[in-house]
This record gives sequence, C-alpha cells and structure tokens, in this order.
Amino acid sequence: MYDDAIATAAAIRSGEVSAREVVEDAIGRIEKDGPTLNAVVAERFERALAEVDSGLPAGPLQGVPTLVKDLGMQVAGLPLTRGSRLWDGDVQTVDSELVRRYRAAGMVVLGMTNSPELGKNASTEPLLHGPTRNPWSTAHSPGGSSGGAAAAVSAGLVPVAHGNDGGGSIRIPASACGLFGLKPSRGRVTTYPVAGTLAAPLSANHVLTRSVRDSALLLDLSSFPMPGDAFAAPTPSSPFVEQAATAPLRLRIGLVTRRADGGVVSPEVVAAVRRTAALCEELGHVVEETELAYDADLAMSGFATLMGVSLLAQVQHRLAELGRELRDDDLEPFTRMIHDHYLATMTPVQVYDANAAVQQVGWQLGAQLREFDLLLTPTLPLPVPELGVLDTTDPSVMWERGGDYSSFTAVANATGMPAMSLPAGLDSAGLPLGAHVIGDLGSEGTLLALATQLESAAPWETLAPSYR
Amino acid sequence: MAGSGTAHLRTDRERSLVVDDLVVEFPVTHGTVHAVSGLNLDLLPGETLGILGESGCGKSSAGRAVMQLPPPTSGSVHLGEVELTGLKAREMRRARARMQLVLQDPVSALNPRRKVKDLVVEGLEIWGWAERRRDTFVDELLTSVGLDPESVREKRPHELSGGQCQRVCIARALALDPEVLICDEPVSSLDVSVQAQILNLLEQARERYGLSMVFIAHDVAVVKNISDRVLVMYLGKTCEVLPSDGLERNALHPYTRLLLASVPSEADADRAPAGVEAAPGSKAVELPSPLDPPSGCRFRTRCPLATDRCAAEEPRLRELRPGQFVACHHPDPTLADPTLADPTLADPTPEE
Repeated sequence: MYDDAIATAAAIRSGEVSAREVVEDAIGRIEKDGPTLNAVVAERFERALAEVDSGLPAGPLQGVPTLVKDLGMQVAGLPLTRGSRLWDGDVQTVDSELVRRYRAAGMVVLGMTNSPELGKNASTEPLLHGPTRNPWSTAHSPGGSSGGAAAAVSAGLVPVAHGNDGGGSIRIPASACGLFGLKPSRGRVTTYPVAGTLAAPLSANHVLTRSVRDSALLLDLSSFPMPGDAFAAPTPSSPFVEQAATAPLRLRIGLVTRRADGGVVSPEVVAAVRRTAALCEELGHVVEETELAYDADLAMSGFATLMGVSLLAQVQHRLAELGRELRDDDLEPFTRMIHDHYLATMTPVQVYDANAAVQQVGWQLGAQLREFDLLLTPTLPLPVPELGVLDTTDPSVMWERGGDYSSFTAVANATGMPAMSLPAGLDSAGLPLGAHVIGDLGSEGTLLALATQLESAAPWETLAPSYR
Repeated sequence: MAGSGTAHLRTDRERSLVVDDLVVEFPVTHGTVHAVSGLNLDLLPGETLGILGESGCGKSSAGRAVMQLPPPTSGSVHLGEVELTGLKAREMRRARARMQLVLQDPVSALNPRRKVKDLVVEGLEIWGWAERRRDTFVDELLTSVGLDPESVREKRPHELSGGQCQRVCIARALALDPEVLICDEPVSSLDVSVQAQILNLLEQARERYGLSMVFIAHDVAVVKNISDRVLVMYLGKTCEVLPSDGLERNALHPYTRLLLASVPSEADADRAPAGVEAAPGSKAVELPSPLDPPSGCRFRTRCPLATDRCAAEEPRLRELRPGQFVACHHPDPTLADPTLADPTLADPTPEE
C-alpha cells in the first residue's frame, strides 16, 4: 500500500507494481474488511479488473482504485440507493460526468460507499445497508454523510474516495476518520447529468484523501467547467497542484471557538483547534480570535428550507417513477418527519425567502472575510459520537442533536464558500479531531496551500491504527 | 495598487526621513493632476530606498515634494526631528541643505559658465562656509567622486562627458555633508558603461559619508542593484514595498511583475515570467490619466487579476511575507517564479 493516490500512480508508472496488482490488493482489502466496516455497499470488481486488463486511459492517476458515494453520483451498472429503501435497486445506466472524469484520469471505480438516507445525517447508519463503523474504533460513527468513503480511506481500502457535502458531509467524516476533506466552492465541480434541485448550490462534490496533494490534483482533474453549468466557481489563477505546493503568503486567520448558534463546544475540541492555530502562528500567519458574524437562525432556516424542497422533489419524482404512493417503510422515521413537515407547511414565498436568506448570510460572512483571509473553527463541536447516538429511527433525538454536528460546517454550504477539514490530533478516546477552515468563494488554492504547510509542519497519520 | 497604508513603516526604529501621507496635485486647465496620492515612506540611517515606476507614476514629483521643491499639497516630511512642511524660508534653506538632490540631466544642472572648482562649492558659497572652500577641500571632493582634480578643476561643463558632469553634481551634493541624498534617475541619461561607475560611486559615497539615500528610477535592474528596499509606485500610489534581495522571485504585485516581465534576463529567455501574460502590445498600453485616476486600485485597468472588488475598494498595504508589503486584493504566490514550487510535491504528470 502506498501513501496516497499520487504515490500509487507513480509506483505503477515506474513498473514497481502493476495496475492489476494494485486493484487486486484493494479488492482483497474490501473483501476482508467489508464485513466489519460495512463501508462498501455495492461492488463491480469483475468489471473493474476487466477494465484494467483492457487498458486504462493514460491519465495521471492511471491504475488508482477508488469508490463513489451511494448518493448524488451515478456509476453505470451499479445501484444508486441514496441509502434509502425507496431507491433500493435503482440501477444506473450512465456514469455521471464526475465519474467519467475520474475514469479519464485513469482511476478504477470499484464500487459504491455507504451513505445515510439522502445524506440527512452526520452519522452513516442507514436502515437499508446498516451502519458503517469507524476504523479507529468500531463502536464509533465514521461521521457522515460520506461515512462509507471516510471509513474506506482511513482503513486503507482505497487511497481516495468520492464524497459530497451539503452540510458538512465531506468534512465531518474526514474529521471523524482523521482524513483531509475539502468541500470546493459552489459551482466548482459539475453535477451533470443530474440537474440539481435547489440543493445543488448548497452541496459540492469532491474527495476524501490521505494527502493534501491528492485533493489538489483531483480538483484539477475534475473541476473544469461543463458548458452550460448554472454555477461556475472563479477560475483558478494556476493549477491547484501548483497552488497547493506554493507556500502561502502571510494569512490573516480568524480563530473561532464558539458556535454561531450558541451551542456547546467541547473543551477537547477547542484545545485541538487552538493547537492548529498555534501552528499557523509558528508558520508566520497572523491569528486573531473572532466570532462568526452571521445570523445563525437565518442561515439555518434558509438552509433547511432549501434542503427540504430538494427532499420533497426527490421523493415525489421517485414515487412518480414507481407509480405509487409513499409507504410507511419507504423512508426512515427522521426523513419521513422532515418530508411530512415540509409537505404540510412549505410555501412558495418560504422558498423564495430561503434563497434570499443564504445570500444574506453569504454577505454577512463575506464582510468578515474582508478582515480575515480564512476562518479557522473546529470541524465537529463535539467528539466523534458512538454509533446509535444519531439514531434516525428516533426523530425527536435527531431533531435535538442533528444540528449539533453540522453547526460549524453548514454555513459554508449556505454561502457556497470552500472549506476544508484537516486532522488536528486525537481526543481522549483516541479518535481523530478535525480543524475546519473556511475561505471566500474561489479560495481553494489558499486553503490547499495552508493545508500543505500544516501537513508538512506536523504530518498526520491518516490510517486508523489497526490498518497500518 | 495601487493602494495606501502605512504597514511598511518602521515606527520602532530610528529613522532619518519619514514621509507621511504625501499628496502632490497640480491644477491644470481642465482639472487637477493627481501626481502623488498619499505616499508613506521611511528611511533608516544608511539605508537606500529605491522608488520604482514607469514615467508618469509620480515618483519624481514625490522626490521633489520631499525636498519641498515645491512643497507638497499636503502631508508631512520629517528630516530627523525636523518637520519640513511649514518651515519659514530661512529655516527651510538650512534644513534643505541636510538633504541633497541629484538629477537626471547633469549637464543642464550645472551653470555652463562656471568652472568645476567653483561649481563644486557653489552651495558652500551660499552658506558662507568659507572654511570649506579651500582648494584642498575641492580636490578631496573631486577625488572622492573619481575625478582627477588636475585635469578637471579648471574646466567648464561642456568640456566634460555626461558621466563626469554627474560626478561633479554628486560632489556638489556631498560638499554640504547631507544626511539624505535623493537621486532622481541619476544614471538614465548616461551610457550603460558609465551607469555602473556612477552607481558604484553613489554606493561608496553612501558608505563613506553615512548617507541615507532615496533612489528614484524606472529601471528595475538599476533600482534593485543599489537599493536595500524597493517601493513600487503606480499613478501616485504605492503598490508594493519589498527587500531588493530576491525581488524578481518574490515580487507579488501584478504591476511589479509587469515591470519585471519587461526586463529581459537569462531566466526569461525562454518564456515570459508567470502570471503577467505580457498582453500583446502591452508596452504600448497608455497609462490612465492622472487627471482622472481609476477608482479603487489604480492599476486595475491594466491588471490581469482585476475583479469588481478592485474597482470598489482601494487595497491597503499588507505584510504578506516578512518585510514584504503588498497593496493588492488578489495576491497570488504562484505568480512568482514557479520553479520555486517544490517539484516533488506536484508531480502528477505521467512521464510518457
């Protein structure tokens, strides 16, 4: 096993190992660890090996195995269940454009990773596929919603895995599993051919990785605009790999340890983000304590409404496709509760206002990003929860706790700003903690440059202990 | 910038010259020329500050305003402890003697009818510093600027070369034992072969007399060569202040990079420097009028990185690397020499 995708591809190019050996090794790991971790919920091993044998595209990541999340992206021939019984067996006929780009880079898709139902949980424990376990501690959640992807990468099944992030769903599992996770700017990565609903501007697709450079390279390989995309992120001044490899200028970093919604932040989490802040200062950046200056209620109402509309539309389209009414066992209780709530209460004006609200929040946070280049916060306000804490069969519990775990991350979705989670040490239970950094739209290069600097100043161990 | 700000000033150090918020404006028939719009600079004892910019950027107006020739529209100039602005004529003359100006055209700076031995001590005559007018003093001065007293003492300017005239001008300036020497394009009218000699002479004079120097020029190579620190000006505003060591590599402001892109060097032989795609015919681009400078960042109309923010908001100088101050909303470290990036960190390209 190599350290990351770039090292794996380099080993294949040099002839040290063959693409087939690398892919077979990954398949072996998935088969061995699959039952324990439950990270991979659909596979295409035979087809993947056939692709290797018939010759892979000569891209920069030729022969690197990867996995796609079972939500939001299509892989031809595999079901896209969205972690939901309502979509069980929804086999796709075409690859999404993003998957096509991964393949064009030479990567080999081995299967789909587990996701909570429609991504509506910060833990990955859908009823359809059962819970994914955290490789650092199998009693704990891998985070969510890209929890299957995070578990797969931190257990070394594949060096990189696709994820998407509509409220923190790349960054939260990256934090929980000790990985690097970047949510790109709104419009950076195309969703073609799935025309987004109103949720599309909120969510973004990218990868969970062990190294910063993998994330940068994959962003270069997957982010060029698709003609006709409704949203386009600012064009980078130079390739992200180059920006990631260039020492950042002296940055003004706003350190935030309190939630905008006033909720609890654990002292362990605060200590971890302060360690990252101290490291930033050692690297010559200017760190100043600040508070998040946006209206948390406005952000949450706009965000929840846009996600709610999206949920309603998806469910109704699926029912139309199936030609039937919604049944009691189609959706998990929590999803059903959100669905029924919005079905009963949503008004057109509310949708209009939600769009205005996220723009207002963008400007509020944008004003703060005149003063600071980046904002540094914890990724999760609390230590990684055990499995069962975020139980979607108990809507009252989810209602109470659901917002906690995305309280630092969701604002980047509301505003479209890029944000990353990077490893920031371990908590007292030995589980990873994450530092979260937000920048203004288009600032992925700056985020990646800072991440590279922190990665080389204090290298992190990304593989869970029992997988090293 | 072209922006404003004082982040680059070293208020915790002893400084021989401090210029605060210097503004120079000239009324003309149809408006006002904004030659210098809020310049801040300081000079440490023994330091050479280069002011770099294209012609028309306000650098000469700034140099003259520092000398109070004429006094600036607003702003203050402190020479040591003395505030120059607002001094009475007599005190001003006394103060001004501590600060001397060396100009671009040495031949026209000298009275054509006077002999070198008289020209050199002209300033002393004005001050009545008779003891310094001795012939031995004249000879010492001429020797110190690399002239042979025997052969030039009795000559008039038209009998000398341009380089020799500039040496006489420098001798005149040194005669008054100034603390600060302001050199405005002192070598741009000279042959390239003579330029280096004059630069060496100024450098030696700075060391020998413990001078601080402001060196104004449009030529990057010349300014970098003689300066400790370089301040880049565009349309009356400061773009960037940075150490001259590593200037080509470290420069971040798009305007500084544009100036560098127009300097042919070994590294540039194969390709234009990154970042500033020297737009076709970019050298022919006319400066926006100082009568009506662009809003926000004054460089934005020529800048490849400009956005709406650059029109709306004037960037302020920020320290982006130790000792390097840049007024730009979109500083990009990858615009520097890309060979600096560690190639091992980014090697995604297949060999074949």
